[in-house]
Amino acid sequence: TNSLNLKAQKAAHSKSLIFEPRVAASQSFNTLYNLCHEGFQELCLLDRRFLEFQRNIFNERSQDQDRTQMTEAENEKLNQRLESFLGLVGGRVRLTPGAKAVEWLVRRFRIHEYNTHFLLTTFLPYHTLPIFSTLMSILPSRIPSEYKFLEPYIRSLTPPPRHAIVKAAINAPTFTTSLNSYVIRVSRSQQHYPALLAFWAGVMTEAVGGMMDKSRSGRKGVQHDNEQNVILRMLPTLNAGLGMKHNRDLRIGCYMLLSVMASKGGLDDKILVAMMEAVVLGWEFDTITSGLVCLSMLTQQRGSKRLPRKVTKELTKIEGLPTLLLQLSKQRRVDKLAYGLSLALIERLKKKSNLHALSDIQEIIQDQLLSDVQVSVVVKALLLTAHQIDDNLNQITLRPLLASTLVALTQFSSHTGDVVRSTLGDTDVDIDELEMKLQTTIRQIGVTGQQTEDE
Amino acid sequence: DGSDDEDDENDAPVVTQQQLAEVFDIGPSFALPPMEEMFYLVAGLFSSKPLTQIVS
Repeated sequence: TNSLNLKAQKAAHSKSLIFEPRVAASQSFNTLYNLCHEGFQELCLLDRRFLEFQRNIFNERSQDQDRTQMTEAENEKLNQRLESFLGLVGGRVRLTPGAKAVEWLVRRFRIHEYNTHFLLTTFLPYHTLPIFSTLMSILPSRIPSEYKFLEPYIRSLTPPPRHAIVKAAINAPTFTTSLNSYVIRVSRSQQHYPALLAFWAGVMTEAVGGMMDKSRSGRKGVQHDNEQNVILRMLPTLNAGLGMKHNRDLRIGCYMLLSVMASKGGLDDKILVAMMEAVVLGWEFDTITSGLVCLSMLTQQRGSKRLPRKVTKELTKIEGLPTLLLQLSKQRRVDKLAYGLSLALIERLKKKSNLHALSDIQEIIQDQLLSDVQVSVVVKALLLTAHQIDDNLNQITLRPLLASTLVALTQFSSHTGDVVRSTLGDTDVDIDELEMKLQTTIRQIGVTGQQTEDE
Repeated sequence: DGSDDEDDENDAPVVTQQQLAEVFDIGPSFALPPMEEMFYLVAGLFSSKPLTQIVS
């Protein structure tokens, strides 16, 4: 049995990411350490965050650390360090120093056996490269259930194509969840890198599309439950991702997932509102434009409704919002966003008179961001607000502003002007009374639809 | 049956898995375009056409 044991040990020792098994089997830990540590040192030069691992998993003493002789608690602590290192090295496994450093973890700490799941996820963005095939070749015969889909590729040692990963993300909730958790965990530790987030966002966007399509088959009731399951599976990740600061790619990745989920019609009003808030609450200068695109897609699904208060508040902080909306409107429909915003701004007027709000509404109408019906409703809402003005201090200052806005709207010469003017003739509000109240003439002589010309 | 029915209320275009794959399946992860660019491509697939074409 001793010789059998020895043979097994030798076989285990021959598993390597860099060396042929026969070469690997003959290497001492000292030789290996010197070689791998070189790679580690180069990593430290590239990124100082690697330095902390000099104290433990890359310490000279690590040469004598044998996991099988360590306690469970020691192993647990070791796992944390190994995973923390793997997260950080993820962006660099294509580089020789990265590969050499990971080689040490394979040879000394057998991460391919003890940390299979984390290691595979770290390498997954590189699934097309030879290093991924090499990794598959040294895996233990039992692999974590999330990665069952890799089995045929492990058997044939062929790199798994992207669509196989997407398929797994559609059909295996455990894989979806584990990939999501990995990305959130690595992002929280500030260890994310562009290729990982691009890989994740792409796979998940396709997967969400696939999951939503899949959930549509079957009876209506079942469909709804399936859809809800997909949404519930993704919500924690979206909340975590949108709640994180200073991670532009993760944020835009979440916008991408949300846009697909919303466009597939899967989000009910409550979730739409919660997600709209999450989109705007954490956005930063460089994610506002993409955030607005996402918001426009969410609002298109929400129907003609006033924007939620928190969303409106964040939108009013953006300088030149109507101009930004006008730019976006050339590529896609933003009318429900512009409309919902206008209604929300009018609602806010009653509480605080806001010069910007009125000029924003005016600009939105002037820029033809709204449909005729929407223009008509917004104008009616403005008239009603003007009608309801009373003599409290806030509203007294609002009065001349509202008057001049209404006058300006009626004076538009475009088709929009026609819509505004015909709305005036169509409202229940008593315009004579209103004109007296506002001390202005809203109906322009000669252009009002219902008035006869006065020459 | 699971066939697509035309929905008048929701005018978002129907996007196939193939169309989505074409955005992402263009190279290895480390050679993909910036995230924002990919987002606009995806958004472009799902967005309804602009309400008014403003020609200046």
